[in-house]
Amino acid sequence: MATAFRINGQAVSCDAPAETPLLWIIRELFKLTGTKFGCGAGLCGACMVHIDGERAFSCQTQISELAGRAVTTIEGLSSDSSHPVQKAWLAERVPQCGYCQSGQIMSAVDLLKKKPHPTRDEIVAHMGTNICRCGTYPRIVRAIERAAREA
Amino acid sequence: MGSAAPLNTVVSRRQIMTGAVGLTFALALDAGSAAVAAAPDGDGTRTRFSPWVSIAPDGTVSIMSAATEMGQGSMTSLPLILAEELDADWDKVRVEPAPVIERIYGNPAFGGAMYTAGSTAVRAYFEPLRIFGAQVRRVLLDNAARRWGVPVNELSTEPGVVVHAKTNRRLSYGEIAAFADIPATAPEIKPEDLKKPSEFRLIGRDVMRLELPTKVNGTAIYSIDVQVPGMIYGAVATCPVDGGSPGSFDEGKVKAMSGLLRQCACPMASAYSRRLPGPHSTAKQRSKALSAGIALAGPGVLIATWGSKTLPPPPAISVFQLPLTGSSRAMLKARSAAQRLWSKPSTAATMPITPKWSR
Repeated sequence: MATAFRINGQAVSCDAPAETPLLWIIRELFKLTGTKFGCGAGLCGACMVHIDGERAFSCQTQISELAGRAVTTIEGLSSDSSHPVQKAWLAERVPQCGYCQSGQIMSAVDLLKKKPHPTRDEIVAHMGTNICRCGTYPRIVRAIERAAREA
Repeated sequence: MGSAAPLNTVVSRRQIMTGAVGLTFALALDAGSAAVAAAPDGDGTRTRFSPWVSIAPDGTVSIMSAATEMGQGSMTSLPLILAEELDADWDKVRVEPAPVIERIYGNPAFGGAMYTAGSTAVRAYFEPLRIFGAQVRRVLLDNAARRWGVPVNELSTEPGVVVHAKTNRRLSYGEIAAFADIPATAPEIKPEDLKKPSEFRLIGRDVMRLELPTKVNGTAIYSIDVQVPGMIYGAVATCPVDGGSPGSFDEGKVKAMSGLLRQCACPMASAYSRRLPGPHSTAKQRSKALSAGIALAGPGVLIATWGSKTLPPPPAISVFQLPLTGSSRAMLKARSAAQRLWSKPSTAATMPITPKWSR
């Protein structure tokens, strides 16, 4: 049975098996490869997207849970990298290898939506869902503080 | 990052300008050599000055980057070094990944192999790239001097432009590229011909890493993002802890997965497990063995599938047998690590490879 939902504002329909992870649908079917596969177990945050405006591990979300809901990926955050978090990410030169950064950004956007002016501790706690093997954490914190200031 | 320019294998003799004599990674090449002929020449509208530099009529300067960009900034820093001595307008520089031609693009720090490691790229390529940039600048100057009929020593450059101050004439690099006559061998550049650090316009300046914007909007392409027609997907379901090996798995259930091509057990490995430190090993050895084991443990079940619209979920059915023998602390640690990883009581000798699928 096909599941109808929205990705980045577009109405889509997908007839993949009910238990198929959203991550695979996003990457393989819709070719939105900005969302990354990391651990496949909800441990690293590389696959973070928004579902109805709230962050979610796309590797831990089954297609069957999506009917009628709206998914936003890194590609849907802005059409021209103009989201305040993306701008802050560039200003602070956050990414190194960059593999985890789509997920980091999606988590950061989620935080600022809920709490426009988080404390440093709140940032660190919220971003604990996302791992960066390059160790860009200090820059991630600075970028979120900058986005909170400049948004 | 991004896609390489299409390869153009038709290259005329006069388009080749070899590197400076004495540099092991840019030997004087036979003009017709297959290696050089394979170097990219873009869409054919650009003039290739050397295996490193092409200039288009609109002034766009394409520079090869010979190192692999892994987030360390090589694709920006290496071309910037060349652009410095070329006196290129950085805003008009386009960087392309160099094709695998070690005779031209190899890393001097690794005997000319195209190998990016050990923080060597900037150090090892620094002098050669400066010379390659200076060579192309010299060729541009020589061409402008011939065009204007003036001595070359009356000319100077500003970023992207050759200037004859006496007569207030200017020719952009793009304009020169359109008529440039390129020598078969590179002009000689002596150390004193290179810029003094005080004359640097680019080196030492904080410039935006070229690939960075692609890493905040999802457009950066990683190897996992490359999809080619007809590709199949393979996955090895490995035991999450060292010392585990494939136990039983429900073949029928695996076979029933849609799109499945083939499954097989991969018994590659207890090689690592056999090297597990014994009970008298140090804590450091044990913890090293444990972490390596988690990353590398081989035994598993290979599932190959076609990429298709109906994507099979990973097999929630593979079961791994954890060794019950042995009482080394490493094994106990492995057991507790497994417990944490999969949130399952470790009293059972088996554990599922996919712990949960709902959020």
